[in-house]
Amino acid sequence: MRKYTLGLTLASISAVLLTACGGGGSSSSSSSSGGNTNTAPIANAGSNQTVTSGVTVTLNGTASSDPDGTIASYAWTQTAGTPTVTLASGTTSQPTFPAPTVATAATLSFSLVVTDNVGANSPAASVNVTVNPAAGGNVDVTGQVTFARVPFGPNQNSGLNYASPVQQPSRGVMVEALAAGTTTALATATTDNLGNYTLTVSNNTSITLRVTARMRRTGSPQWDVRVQDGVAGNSPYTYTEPGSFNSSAGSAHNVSIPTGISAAGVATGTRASGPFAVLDTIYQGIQTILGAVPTTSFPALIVDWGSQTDGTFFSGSGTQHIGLLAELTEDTDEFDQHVIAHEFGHYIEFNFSRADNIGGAHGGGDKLDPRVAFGEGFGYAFAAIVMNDPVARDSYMNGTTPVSGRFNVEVNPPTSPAAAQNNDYGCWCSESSVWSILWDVYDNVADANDNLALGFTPIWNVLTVQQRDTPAFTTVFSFIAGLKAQNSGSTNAINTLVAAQNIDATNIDIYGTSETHSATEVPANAALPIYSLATIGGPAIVVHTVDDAGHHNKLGNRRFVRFTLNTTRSITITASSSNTNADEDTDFRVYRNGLFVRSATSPAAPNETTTFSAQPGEYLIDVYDCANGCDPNPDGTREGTPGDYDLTVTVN
Amino acid sequence: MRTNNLDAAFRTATFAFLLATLLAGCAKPAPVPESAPTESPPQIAPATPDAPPPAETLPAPEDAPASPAQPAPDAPAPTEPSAVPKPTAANEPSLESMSVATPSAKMSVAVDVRYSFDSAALPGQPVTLHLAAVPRVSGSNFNVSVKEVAGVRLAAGPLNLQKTDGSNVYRRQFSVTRGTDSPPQLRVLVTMDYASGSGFGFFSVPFGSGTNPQKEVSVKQR
Repeated sequence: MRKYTLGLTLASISAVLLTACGGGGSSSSSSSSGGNTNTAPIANAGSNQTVTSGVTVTLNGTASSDPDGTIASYAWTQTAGTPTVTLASGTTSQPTFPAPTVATAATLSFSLVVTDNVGANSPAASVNVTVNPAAGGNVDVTGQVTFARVPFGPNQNSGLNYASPVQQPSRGVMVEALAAGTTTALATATTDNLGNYTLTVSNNTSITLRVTARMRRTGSPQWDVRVQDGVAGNSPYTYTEPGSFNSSAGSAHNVSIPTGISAAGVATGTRASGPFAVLDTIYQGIQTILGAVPTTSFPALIVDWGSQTDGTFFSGSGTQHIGLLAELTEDTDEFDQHVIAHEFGHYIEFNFSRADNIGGAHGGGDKLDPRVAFGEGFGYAFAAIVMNDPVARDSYMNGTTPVSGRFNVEVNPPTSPAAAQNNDYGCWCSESSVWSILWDVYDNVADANDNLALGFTPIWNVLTVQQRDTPAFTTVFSFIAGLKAQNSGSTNAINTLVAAQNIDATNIDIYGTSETHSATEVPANAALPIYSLATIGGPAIVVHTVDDAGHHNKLGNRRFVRFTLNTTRSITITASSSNTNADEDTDFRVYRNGLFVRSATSPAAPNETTTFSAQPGEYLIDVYDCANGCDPNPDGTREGTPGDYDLTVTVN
Repeated sequence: MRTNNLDAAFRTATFAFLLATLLAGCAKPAPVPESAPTESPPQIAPATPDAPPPAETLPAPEDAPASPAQPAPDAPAPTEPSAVPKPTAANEPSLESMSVATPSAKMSVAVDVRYSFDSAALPGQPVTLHLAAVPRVSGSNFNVSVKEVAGVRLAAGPLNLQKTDGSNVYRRQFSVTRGTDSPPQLRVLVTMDYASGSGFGFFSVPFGSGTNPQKEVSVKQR
């Protein structure tokens, strides 16, 4: 295997060298590998064809050849003509596609490149397929696609009311006319903002309608969002309308996608409308962003809903995806619009702003790492803005009873802990403070301390400029500093709003340097200053860490140290803890201008040191004792002995 | 560090109350209705309907005697009744020795759930599951229950409290008997009202862990 790989590499290098030197002029020339000469294969895309709309076209590359080996693979591409068709088995010698419906004759061009058994590519061969309209002409098949949404019951704790689903337009989804009894698509359309579609197909053709849980738009703006199982497969869910009809018969052909769930909340078949409910909430999220920037290009997004049991979350690693729970007897999220929009908010923050949120468990009233407080608070504020509904609800089953958790982002946490009685009071470390501030910036309903009504665009403008580029971590401090910078005419109103959440708005900067408020749950020296300022070669910085508000991502678990570097040089950072337990483990991570640089996270190491060549910039150190600042291990054990410790950091 | 601030008088009172409760048998939960759910009248908390009113001072704080596991009214009789363990305060594991139950990834309740089995949960053999709920904030209408699933026999009802304090630990013991077809984990539902809303969280308690927690070199989750 290794020898084969080497041969491929040499062949590739040789081909590149030949091309770069002008020797040969095309990849069809011979190349050598280990002293042997390989001759490139020859592609043959078959003869040109003329067909009629609706028939299945088979491209033919079987006449391709390789003089000194075999054909290993085929790559077909449509190079010209409209509409663009989808090839089935596009990497085989004989792919197929349904001839699309056309009003006048259309020529579609395809190219074929074959690859031989040592990896050499052929020159492209081409073939044209002329598609003529069906003899009987075409007809527009129209209708509306709706999906069944299960609404919440009327009471504040009500769960989903499965007995009374409501049909809602399925917007922006793909609709296909299939040749009856087959999966051959004769025409494809996208529903509009009312769920309406128009499919142009041949007259007197028996067709079946299929709707795919995918929203795709090319051009500007553009997006591609699909809902799939993710475990059982990577194709988007589809719903095929039962039965078929003659394309020339009748008027509107509506598609009503059912829940597949009984009034008692029990699945009676395929839960067909779930994926479309998910998509429609994301459609609303997309429209919210387009309201600020109409030409936004959204990176592809996959929603895994079905078999995955990892929870409800957003992940930006690999292919960006949102996981949604789908357990009917426990917690299923396809109809929980605030939950979906919240996760979409994480996707928006990740792609268009910057998300320094370290994730982890959190609940109402928690005092959090300010990065987590901002990320989660933004997510629910964004969800409320998308839904234009400040009451967030999340359904679940308590035994066999559908119920829901809820909160209202319009409710401003009280300033005083004593007045709160429960622990949910204003703090820069509270997600509820973040979501109430952002909602009040957006909404046009004045209330106590809220005389702002800026709408969403100013929030977007801060997210995509100051918050994205801040050298500090993304917290409420960096956001409010940016908001004030962009909205100087609203300075007083912003100060009033933010001050009501125990945040010093008047003198605010991205680091929260002037902040004096803390939270009663942790000692003040475990929360303030938010960033300790170090100097290169200066005295050691000692910060205090506790687990009083919880672990991993709670207030006081992780502490921030920062320093400024003006010239390129070698930097050595050390960290240690006053924790003397045998399982002590100090860790830290380093960021420059807000972007991750390196980590020092050796397992069970009481001291950490890292030395690196550092570029000028603003550096942040996220330092923690793993006993307080790490998540539990997968087996439920916790690393180290949580407690009150001093962390010592040096920068040289 | 979290501390237990209960004084001796409160502990004594709690013990007396728990003893009275046990004698009266009122720790047994009402059967969970199996009829189709309908829209109920306004509820204060998303608790199981018809559950007994939560006691005002039923917390089972860290050092208080724990109530023994009670069979659910509709639970089948254990295969070996005599083998059902009778947990006492003496065999309550320390909080630090208990494993941490993993919550759902999304926003949950501000509560840590820890668990420990007093022995390996082998099919057909009842074991005691020790649960400890540790609120990170104060709240009300606090409820901890183990989701009933096919293949697992549970004895003991949910923990219901009208108020919780962020400085206390609330414990509950469940007798658990796995069947050969049981799922790999139990699911614990915790619900709580807090100042600005109502939250819930499902926590995973895998059968294969938590019997003898040992420190290991961890796979760090960051």
